[in-house]
Amino acid sequence: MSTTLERPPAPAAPAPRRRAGLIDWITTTDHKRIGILYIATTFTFFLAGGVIAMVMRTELAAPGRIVSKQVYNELFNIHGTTMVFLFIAPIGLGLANYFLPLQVGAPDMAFPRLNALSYWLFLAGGLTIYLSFLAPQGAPATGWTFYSPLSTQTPGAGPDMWIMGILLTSVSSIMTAVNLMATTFLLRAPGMTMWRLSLFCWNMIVTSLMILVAFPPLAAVLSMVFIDRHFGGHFFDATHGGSVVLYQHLFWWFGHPEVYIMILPYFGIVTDIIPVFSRKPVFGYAGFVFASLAIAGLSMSVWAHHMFTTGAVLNPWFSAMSFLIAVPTGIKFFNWIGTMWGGKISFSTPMLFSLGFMLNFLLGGITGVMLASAPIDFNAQDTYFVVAHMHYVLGGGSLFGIFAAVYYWWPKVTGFRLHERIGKVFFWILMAGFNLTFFPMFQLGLRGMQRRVADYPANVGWTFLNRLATLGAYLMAVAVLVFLFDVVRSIRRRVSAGDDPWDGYTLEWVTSSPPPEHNFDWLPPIRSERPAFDWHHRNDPASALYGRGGLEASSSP
Amino acid sequence: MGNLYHLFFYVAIGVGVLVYGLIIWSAIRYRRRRTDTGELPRQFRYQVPLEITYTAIPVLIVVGLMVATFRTEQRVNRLVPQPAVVVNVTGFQWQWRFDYPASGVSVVGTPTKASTMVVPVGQTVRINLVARDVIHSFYVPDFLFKRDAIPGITNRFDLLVPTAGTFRGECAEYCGLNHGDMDFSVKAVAPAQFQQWLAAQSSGASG
Repeated sequence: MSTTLERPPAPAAPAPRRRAGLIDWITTTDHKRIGILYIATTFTFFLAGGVIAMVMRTELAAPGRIVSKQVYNELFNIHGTTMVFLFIAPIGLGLANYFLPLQVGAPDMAFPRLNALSYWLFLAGGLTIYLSFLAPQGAPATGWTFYSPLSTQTPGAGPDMWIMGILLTSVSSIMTAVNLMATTFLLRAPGMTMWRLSLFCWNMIVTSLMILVAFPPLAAVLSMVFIDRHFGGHFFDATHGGSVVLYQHLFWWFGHPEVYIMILPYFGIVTDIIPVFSRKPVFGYAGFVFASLAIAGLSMSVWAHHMFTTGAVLNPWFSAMSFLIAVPTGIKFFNWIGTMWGGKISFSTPMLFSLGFMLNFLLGGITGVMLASAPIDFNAQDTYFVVAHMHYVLGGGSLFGIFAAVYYWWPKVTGFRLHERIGKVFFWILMAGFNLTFFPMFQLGLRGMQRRVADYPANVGWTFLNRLATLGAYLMAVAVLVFLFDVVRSIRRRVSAGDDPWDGYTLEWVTSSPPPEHNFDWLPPIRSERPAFDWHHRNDPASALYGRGGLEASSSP
Repeated sequence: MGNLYHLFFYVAIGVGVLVYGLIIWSAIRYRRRRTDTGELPRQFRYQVPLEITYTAIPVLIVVGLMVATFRTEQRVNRLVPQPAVVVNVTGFQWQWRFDYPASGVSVVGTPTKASTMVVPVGQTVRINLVARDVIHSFYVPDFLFKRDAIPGITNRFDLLVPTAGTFRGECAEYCGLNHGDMDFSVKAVAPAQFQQWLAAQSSGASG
């Protein structure tokens, strides 16, 4: 074939785009705009949840009280609810909204209007949850896990608003999962086989699968609580033949896949970033895919490790499955190390955050293996040891993965750059603050400090560690302010980033920054999991396009 | 139980040193130098024997941890056929009640006076744990142990306190407004002292 595969010249003087107005944003079905809406909204919820955390940490810095117990108990619920339901999971879906169609070479998601509905349901759900603060008896002081009988017995509209908000966000997530899977299975560009997908895309498929399995039972169990609350139900009422433990089974059947839903997108993003900044392909692509699938399967068999202390479940099974799930997670670490090995690593901000992700998540994972042992859990359950573990995986892991994604993809979404030096300052302050906040909590838990208490005695030796944790939390707040400064500065200065500032591998880097409305004017031939690299380096033997006839090797781009 | 902690701690240190070491080593050793010519490094994608090894070894490690876990849990959960003392423990919002059925003695905590469960040193105490209203959890950090008190379920476990002393106890399952105020104590005394205490309680001293 003698067809040239040159990129056609850019269209002459593209029609000027008028700036999108409010109506455009409200009615958009463009996955990129919806992705931006998700990211902006979830980040705002993050800030709200973070302010709540600052109040909590200020309260806990020393014995004695600054806020009332009732307020504290409402705050720790909304903090957890915000971070889990309104930030970590949905921002991953927002990033996938923007980048999955781009990475598979599609012009949009499979169901654009369903996509828009997803976002607005999400926003409605989040606002409903926050409006519960205005209910006469306040937000539900039940914990984000909402255990019955306490949640059934808590009076007022707060718990009901919380239930409604979660039901709305659950439906939103289920719709997005359907959309992501349909887009990946049906709208891939020619040449984009499943085994050439980016690992972010693979992990989003697996995340979507877990969403489909996990969220319907969550909707069911919260509806059952609602029926117990208002329609004379006794599902979880032991005095009328109900089962208290049933709530926990149904909740954690959702809850455990949920934590993998909250990490897998960021495993994927980090696995897109590390190869680019190591100048090598990812090591062990197939192993990574199988590990993600294994995590999805095993995640559905471990749920009752949250129930080891109930005395009502078969601890050995759940312990064994929980140990096993550490193996595929560990394999990913070797994928990343193998990718860096022999590479030429540059420590731009996305790579720094990816390294921080690895170092932090490792400690979270190791302590997770400790908690998988039921007799160890008999001591550690419901103490600050668990709080430390979960924040290392969610904060040290997912949060760092989120900032890696932001620094990596900001140029593509906006067309201009974030500042490298400010980004590095942000990284180091966050790394220091994060570890200062949560590392002492391991020791606090082993010293017996239980979770969800507004105050503690002065004579039990917990004060110093709590002070350290609060200091770390304030440092994290400073870090986030540095990040916000970087964002505002970047928007005001608009230093152009170009189409491909990082010499990236995946398809989003062949199109303009930001992409045109239909994503691609043109696609290169896709012959590996690194289509952008292959095209941009087609003179190099390392490219899958090297030696192909018909490519004008010396012409742009 | 302490041995299990040691096992996990040392395995964690070993795995941690290895993996942290590999990450930090490769980040430093394979960093791009300022003098870099821009040539691509060797672009290897897989190495099957290595991948099999780094899958198999973690499986073996966790199987070992599983076996140690099972053995320990069996010991921790074991119920002796004839405990020396039986205490019925009830968690309620927001204190604890300790009933000694054999002697008719009851100790009930109040918002102003936390309850103390007195037990004999070195003798097996059977606890029957229930909850009256919502889920609570009976937690004594010094015993490295907790068990949930769940409405509709009676959780049974044995305590054997080897040394005399007073040990702090807490509620470890969020149970509402005063969850953090549900502290109690376990006081282990010599068996003779324990009998004296029981006698004093049942002869009318307030319990």
